[in-house]
Amino acid sequence: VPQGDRREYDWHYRACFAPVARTVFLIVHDRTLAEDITQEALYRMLRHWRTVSTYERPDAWVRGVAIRIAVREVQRASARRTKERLAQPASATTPYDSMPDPDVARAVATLAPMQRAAVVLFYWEDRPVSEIARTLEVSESTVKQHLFRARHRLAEVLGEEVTDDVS
Amino acid sequence: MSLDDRIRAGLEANAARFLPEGEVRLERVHARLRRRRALQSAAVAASLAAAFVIIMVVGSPRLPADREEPLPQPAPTVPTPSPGVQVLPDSTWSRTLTRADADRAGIPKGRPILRDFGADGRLSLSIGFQGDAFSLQVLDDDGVAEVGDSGDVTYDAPGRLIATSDSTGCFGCEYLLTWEVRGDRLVLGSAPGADLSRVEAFVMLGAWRRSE
Repeated sequence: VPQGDRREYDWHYRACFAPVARTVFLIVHDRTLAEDITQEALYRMLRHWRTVSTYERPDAWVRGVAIRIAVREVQRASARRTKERLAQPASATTPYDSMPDPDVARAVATLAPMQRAAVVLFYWEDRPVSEIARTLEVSESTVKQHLFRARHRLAEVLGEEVTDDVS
Repeated sequence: MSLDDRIRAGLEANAARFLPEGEVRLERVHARLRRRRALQSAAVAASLAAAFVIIMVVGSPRLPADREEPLPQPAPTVPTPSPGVQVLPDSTWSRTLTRADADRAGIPKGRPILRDFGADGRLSLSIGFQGDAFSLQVLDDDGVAEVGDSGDVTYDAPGRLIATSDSTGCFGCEYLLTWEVRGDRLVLGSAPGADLSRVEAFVMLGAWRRSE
């Protein structure tokens, strides 16, 4: 990689790593996995740097790649857990206990993978529905449906009242 | 506090606790690309050397008199096939392993791979090659495929297959394998210096039957 390109890539890497890793962490709830996924997305950016560097927002490209990997990982992990639950009893402690707000983490963990991603992008990153749809490669109405169902589920788990309007 | 504010506050608190160590991983990303480029360069160098030898032995091919320039050739894609190096065509292969196979391979009890065996004591695997990518899948009891590993495929100068994992379980891990297609069977072997773990060897090495 030419020095100029490398400097520019490194700048993007440093700007992207922490925010993307935090978003991924809220989806996968595992620090190492969140960093691994972010590293993978940034490696893919380096591999395709000649193309990605021409994009208006390379950070959006990386975020999209990382979030889609995270969703796949959650899907795989939930399939694995189902098998493991059948094989052995669940452990008494969960990774959520060490979090500042374990109730919200536990409630988010009950959501389907795409719902998790939609909730994190909507509530934590404050992204509009149109951008979430582009990131998750689904339609806007699908995103709205994910958010609607997720909100009802979160209210149920958190013991909160759900209103129709998002505030 | 409304439900939405509760969710926002909770996510913010949980994210704030997480301080990612990105700087440590920056050099790993560059190193991984350097490794990949080095492997590709080795394959290209081998191709050029082989082409040079062919030209020296056979002589320079003469163009027909009515054609001034050779027709443009399509751009090479990865994996780069060279005159002496064959590459696996796009294909899918499958195999079934049993618990007895695992015992014979000396897989220690408690390894996660053993939990993937179905109630019938069998583990159905499928490996697909598509361009420069591979995907290893595990089929559950209902025949539903779950990706066990995936990543990039390149070939070194002697034509051995280098599978680089993209899976979060082992980012950047490389498997150096010999391969041979015999009829409807693909035989994967361990190349010298491949250093596969017992489980990796158990899953990957041996005969696979063509399924597509």
